[in-house]
Formats: sequence, C-alpha cells, structure tokens
Amino acid sequence: MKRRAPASSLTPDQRMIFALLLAAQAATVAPLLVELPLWVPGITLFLIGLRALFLWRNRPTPRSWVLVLLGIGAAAAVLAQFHSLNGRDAGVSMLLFAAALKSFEIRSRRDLIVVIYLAYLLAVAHFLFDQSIPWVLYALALIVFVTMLLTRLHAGPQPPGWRSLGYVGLLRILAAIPLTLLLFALFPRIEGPLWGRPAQSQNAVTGITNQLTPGSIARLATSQAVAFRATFTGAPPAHDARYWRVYVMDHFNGRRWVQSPSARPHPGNLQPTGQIRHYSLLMQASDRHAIPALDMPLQAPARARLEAGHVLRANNLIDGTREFALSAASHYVLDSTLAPGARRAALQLPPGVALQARALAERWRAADPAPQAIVNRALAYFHDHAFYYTLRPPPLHGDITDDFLFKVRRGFCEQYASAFAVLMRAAGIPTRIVAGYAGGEWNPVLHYLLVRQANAHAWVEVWLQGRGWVRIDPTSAVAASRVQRSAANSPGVATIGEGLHIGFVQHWFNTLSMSWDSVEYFWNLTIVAFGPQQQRAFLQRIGLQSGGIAQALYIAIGIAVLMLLGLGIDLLRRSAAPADAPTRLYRRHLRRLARSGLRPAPSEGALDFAERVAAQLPQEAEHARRIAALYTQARYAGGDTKRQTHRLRQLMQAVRETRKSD
Amino acid sequence: MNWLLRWAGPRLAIAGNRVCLDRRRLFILPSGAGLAYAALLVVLLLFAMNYNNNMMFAFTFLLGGIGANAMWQTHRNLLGLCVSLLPPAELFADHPASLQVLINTDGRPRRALEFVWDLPRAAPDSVLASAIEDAPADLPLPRMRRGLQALPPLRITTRYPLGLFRAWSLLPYTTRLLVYPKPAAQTPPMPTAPTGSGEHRGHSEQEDDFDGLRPYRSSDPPRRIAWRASARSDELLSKSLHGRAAEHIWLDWQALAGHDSETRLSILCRWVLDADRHGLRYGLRLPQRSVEPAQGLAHRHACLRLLALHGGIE
Repeated sequence: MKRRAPASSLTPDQRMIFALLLAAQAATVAPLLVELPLWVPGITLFLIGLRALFLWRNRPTPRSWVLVLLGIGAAAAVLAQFHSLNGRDAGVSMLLFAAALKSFEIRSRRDLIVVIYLAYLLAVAHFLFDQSIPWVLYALALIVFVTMLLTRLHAGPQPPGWRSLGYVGLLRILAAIPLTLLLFALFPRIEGPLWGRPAQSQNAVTGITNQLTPGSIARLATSQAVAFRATFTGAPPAHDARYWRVYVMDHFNGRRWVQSPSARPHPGNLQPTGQIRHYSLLMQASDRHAIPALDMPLQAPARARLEAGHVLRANNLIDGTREFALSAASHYVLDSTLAPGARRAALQLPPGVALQARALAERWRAADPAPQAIVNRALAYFHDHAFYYTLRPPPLHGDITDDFLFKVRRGFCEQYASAFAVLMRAAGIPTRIVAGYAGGEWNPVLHYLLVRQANAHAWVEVWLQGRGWVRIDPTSAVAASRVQRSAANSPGVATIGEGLHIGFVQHWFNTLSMSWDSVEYFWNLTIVAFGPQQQRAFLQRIGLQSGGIAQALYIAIGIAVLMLLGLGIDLLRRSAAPADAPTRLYRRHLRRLARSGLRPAPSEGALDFAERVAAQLPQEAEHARRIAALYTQARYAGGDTKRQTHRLRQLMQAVRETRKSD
Repeated sequence: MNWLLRWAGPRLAIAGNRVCLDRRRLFILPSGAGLAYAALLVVLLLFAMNYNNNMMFAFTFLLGGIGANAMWQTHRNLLGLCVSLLPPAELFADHPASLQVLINTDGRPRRALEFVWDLPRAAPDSVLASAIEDAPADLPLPRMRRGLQALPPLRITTRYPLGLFRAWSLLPYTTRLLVYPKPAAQTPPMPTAPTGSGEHRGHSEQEDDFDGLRPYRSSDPPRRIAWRASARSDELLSKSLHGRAAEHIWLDWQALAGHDSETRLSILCRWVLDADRHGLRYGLRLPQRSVEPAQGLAHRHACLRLLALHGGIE
C-alpha cells in the first residue's frame, strides 16, 4: 500500500495541464453515451468530474486500495453487463474505467503521460463504433489538444504559450499526414479477424431481422440511418423494380413468420430471362451476415454465398463498411419446379388460426380455382375494402390475421404481407414472405441509389406453375387515397410523394442532405471500405504490385523519400532562419536608414552604429540612440515576459515614430 | 555513458570552452515513454487489423507520423546549439560553486534543455533550462579536490517536444579548473608580527596606528580587541590598524608544524583570504617556493595558486 500522496505533488503548471487533460477525457467519453449502456460512460464522467473537483479544492486523493477495490467493482459490473471482459463494448468500457481511476493516482509527470496515452487510445477506440466524417474531425481535434498537453508537459521552464502550442499542434498533424497516407495506402490489409470478434448481438445495429412480427418493420420506418448504397453500371432499375431481398420466411406460427428450421441449403434454381444488371453495393456495418440483393441475385460474390430463398449471406459478420460486386436478373424464373417437401413447407399453416381468412380463401377458390385469379381477387380485396396503410397501426388482438383482415384494417407492410400470405396458403398457393428493402433515393450528383432503414419493407412471393416464384406486393394494392402521408416509403406508393407539393425549404433541405450524403458515400466507398480487394485494385490502378513483400518495399521507399524531403525542407528553413520580434523591428529601422545610405558594418553592433548615425545625421541622433538602446535591451537583457513585452512595445513605438517623421 | 565516450571520445574532445552541437555530437534514442508509445501503436494496429477498421488504421499511422516527426524535433532542439562555459573566478575545494553556461541559439527557441555532469555516481544537480534567447544558466559544479582539476563531461539532454525520444550530447571539455584548497574554518591566530621587523612590534599598538573599529574576527589576536569600546557596544570590537607600507607579515608553512600538510594548506588559504581582506601586506612561504610580500588581487591569486598546486599536483 502506498502512502497517501498530497495533491500538491505536481507543479502549478502540471496541475493546469492535468485540469485540461480531465476536460479532454470528458470530451472523449461523452460521445460514448450513445454507444454504450448509459451507466458506463455516465459513471466514468462522474468520476472525472469528481477528480476535477478534488483537484480544484486541492483535496487528497483516495488511498490506493480504494482505487483497486473500485477497479475490481468496475470489472465485475462490466462482466455482469456484457458477460465478458473482452470484445468491443466490454473492452472499451474497461478502458473508460481504467482511464478514470488512473486519474485519481497522479503523483508525477509520468502518471500524467499514462493518462495522456489512455486519452489517445480512447479517442481512436471510438472508431470501433463510428467511422463517419464528423467523428473523424472530432477525433482529430482531440488528438491536437492532447498532443498540445503532452508538449506543454515536456516544455520545461518558459513553455510556449497555448496559442503557439495550438498552432504547432495543427502543424504536427499536417506534417504527419504524408506518412499517414503512405502507410494507409500500402499497409497490407488482411481478410478476417486475427483473434475473432465476439458477435455484437446485444448492440446489433437496427435493421430488419429474420423474423416478421407485427411492428417489426414499422419501428424502422422513421430511421434515417443508411442501410446501403448501390451504384449501377448502366441505368438504375426502374422505381417499381427496386426490391432488395434480405430474408425469406416460410414458417408461420400464427403470430410471427420465421425461416423454417429445415430450410434447404440449396438456394433455388434460377433461369435469368431478362436483362442482367451489374452493380456495386456499399453496406454499412450491420453486425449480421445478410447482404441485401436486388431481385434476383445471380451468383454470390467472393466470401459470400446464396442460401435458401435465394438470399445472399456473407461468410463473416458485416461489422464494418463493406463493398460487394453483385449482379441481378431483372426477369427470371426461380424454381420452375417445386419439390414436394418444399411445396409442403410453402403451404404450411398452423392449425386453428385465421379461420375466417381460411373461409374467405376457400370461397375464392370455389369461385375460380386458377391461382392467378385468386391472387387478383386478394389484391382487389385490399383495394376495394377500407384498408388503410399507416405507420402507426392500432395493436391487433386475438388472431392477428382475422383481426387485421376483418376488423382493424389498418396496417403497415408486414400486416398486409402476412395476411396476404395466409390467404394464399389457405387457397392452396405456395407462398413465402420476403423481408428486405424497397425503393431508395437516387443521388443525382454521384449517381447512386441510397437506401435507408426507413425503406425496410415486406412483401410476398407466390409460386405459380410455369412462372416459378412471383413477387407480389400486397401493400401497393391499398388504394392511394388511403395511404397516410408519413408512410410514403414503399415503391407502390412512391408515386404519391412525387405528386405532392414540396415546399421550397423542404426542397433545399433535400438537396443539402443529398449532397452531404454524396460526401459520406464517397468517404465510405473510398476510405472506410478500403479492404484487401480494394487495396489490390488500387495498387493495380497505379501500376504497383500487390503482396506483402512488394508493399513493404514500397513503404520503405516511401519513407526514404519522405525523410529526404524532410531534410530538404529543414535545410531550406535553416537557411532562412526566422528572426525574433525585436530583430524584425530593428531591421525595419535599418531599412529606413539604408535609404539615407547608412548601413551597419558586419562587425558593428547596434550601439556603435547608432553613434555613427548620430555623427552623420544629427537630426536622427536621438531616435537612433533610443532604438539601439531599446533593441539591445529587448534582445539581450532577459527578464520576465511582462517586462520583455513592455520593452518590445516601447521599441515598436519608437520605430513607428521615426516612420511618421518621414 | 562512459562506453560512449570511450568509443567516440577522441573525436568529441573539446578544446577551449565553447562548442556547437553538430550532427556528429548528437545522439538520440527512444525514451521509456517512447517505447510505451510504440507499444500503444502496436496495440492500436492489432485492433485495426482485427476489426478491419480503416479509421483505426489511419489514426494509428497518424499517431505514428506524429511520433516519427517528434524524433526530428527532439534532434533539432539540440542541433546547432552553442554552449560556452564560464568558470567562476575562484573555486575552493569542497565548496559549493557554480559555473555559468551560456547558451547561444541560432534564433530558434530551444526548450527543456537539461544540463547534468556525467559522473559515475548518481547525478547530483541538474539544471533544466529553456533558451528562448541567448541566455545564461547557472550550473552547480560538483565538489572538487584541490589542484588543477578536469571537468567531468557535461551532458545536455532534451526530450522536447513529446518526451518520446531522448537526444543528448556529451561535452568532454579539456579545460581544467584550478581549485584552491578548502579554507580552514578554525585557524590558529594569524601571525601579526612581521618577522624580521621587530622594531615595529611596539608600534603596532600605538594610538597613531589606530585606524578605527571593526567587528571582531576569530583570527584577531586578543591584544587587538578594543575592550573599552566593546563594553559600550553590544558586540566585540577589534582595533583596525592602518597597515604601513613597510609593514608585512609572512604566512609560513613552517609555523604550522604539528598539522598534516592538507590542513596546513587549508589554514594558509584561510590566512591568505583574511590577510587580503584586512588589506595587509603578506608573503607566503612554502617548503620549496615562496611569494614575496605584496598586496592586491593578482598577489592573492598567485598565493592561492601556489597553495592549489602544492605537492606537485598539476
């Protein structure tokens, strides 16, 4: 156990640095409030505040064993919350507590350095949560500030002022950028994790899931978060063809749709009949495996596979921004024949549910058994009856299918898709639910389609003899007049939005947000998603070889070039060494005298020169002597900064006066 | 650091007392904090690779660039710096003293320069100075023995700006300092009777020689004490005597029989200082050499020099 250290073991300057360091710590922790369970950053901020209070009141810090106990308590709490001490969230939480507790144990400059390093670590660790441009700028500012503190800590007596530290700090960042770019472009990227990344199941990014329950998609309807962006070689798909499949669900338990556990691994048998569209998909981190694919994906890209229901799955969790090269068939026949098992699965309905709906489907089949006729009947049913499409449907009670179809009649896409699928299955038509995204905003600047979480949608595929699986979007059958404006996000209703009058401000706002999105898109595409394939492509484009040894060689050459450049700049700078303030003022005075033909000899000091001036130009005598005296004082007399500043001001005044007298 | 001197010593030896730090005089290595910083970067890099996180990559490289540039800056903080040593006018053995270090910059401010004598034992005093302008700094000297002594090498170290690197230079000055003996604290009374001028002995107490009163010093003989004046005052007073031109004293090695030779030198040193302060004419006699009686600064230095170099110490 260590002795209780007095709070005053730091010098006044170190205390000030410490106070600013605590502010930097708080600024690093605060953005994590939205990323981690609230209590973790909350308690950390509280501890930092407490430490600042102790510092301000000059109170002794707690004994070491108290800190050790607090540390153990924090570790236990983190373990209870995350069931682990490693992994992103638990690791960053432990880092927060370590930084906050370490700040209670500051006895020397060395401890301050440890806290500064922890601040660096925290500022960079935030990129595990967010790699967007605003955060990058914020982290840059933090690093400039923390580096300023580190410099001040090592500056000895007469440290540079804060303004000059800030200027030098910025310069430091600029000077480090060439090396950063070099290493960023050339440092070999590897595929896959080094030691595994625990799934972030607790904090998975909001998005559609592999289950469909009432409200599961409606809760996404207001999320402006970007799901993915797609660029097309050639024209983008038409409005009504923008369906992106993510999950296919074929098992209904009366309330929720899930993928049947016995789903065949075989993706399905696809015969493209129409145009093949190639596109590139830039995904945001989802912490899932699913890759949204435009109907109907042709083949899986590298490190991904097609699965049952003809959906794309990445081999690794998509825990960062990723780019995929995909292709889709605009017209196709999927599964021209249906195996008996598959057919049974696509007709499954739990016994005893949706009895009214089954009766309705039976009546339709009795009237006209042709599957296409039944489909049309069902769509007409949604259109002709008082069905409303709304973002906030009232809750469904009892049997959700019957309650929706015959009583409530207000719903979001998942209610329509679910009820429609139940009707089809009851009528003997193999049916399944598809959840994914529909629509998207076209960015006219950079020509890509932006799809947000708000574009999440659910629809239905029915299997028809000779045509395979056919996409039906029952939501689009709802009469346009009964679509409530706030939910105008499905492709079937998108035309309504275009018809509405958009105010000028709204228009501006849309334009602005679209251009900001362009920047973000560009950022994500070129920087954030820079992976092994992108690096290979980049190196190829600039005519370099890829591969560990070649890249190491390029890095070595690049560093050598940078060092030579640095040496050159150093030589240039030294040949033009900047003069200090008194010398600059004095030179101004000399330039003025030079017009009268008086120049100091190389060996002549300021005072001697002033005497010569006095002898030759008597009217200048007084000024020249005064300036020479002030200059020598300001330059050589030393003294504290206050006196120096005073002398400098006097000198400046004296030099100005002579100017006026000209 | 002695291995370094053995290796690079000959080419780094400094004649005179001014030296400018050029590239061959400067050494630089990562400091402990710098190694910790490197470890931090490795951890960040591993995380960046594990999570395929490009911004972590970028910022790891950025911090690496900042660290690499700090190496240049630390080096430049010493490069081109000129250091002159201004030894003190007088230096006594085992007495605290300091010399002035004059730092000339080439216009660039230099910060956090640490000056320390490169001694085998734990570093004694070190001085942390910043040189915004050409500026002197006082550097305490290590305790030295009597004689003509070599300075230990002077080490200039800096960690500015980020503390990641330690740049240093070793300045093995060849200049040697003359160190006078340590003035004794307790001395036998100074000889007052000028040997060989016995006729003056009676006169030294005469009223006409009396010059005034001054505070008593331990070296004053009892008969110089002004008892009547002291009784009126709070302190003991001595009669100050007007030294006549012909009057002089001999400070004699032989008079101190019974002390060992270093003690004799110490006592003689104290006597020289006291005699000089009292404005006496004095001469110094050592076994082999002597200085004729005289007065003044040059004489004092000559006497002290003789004492410093006694016994063949060169």
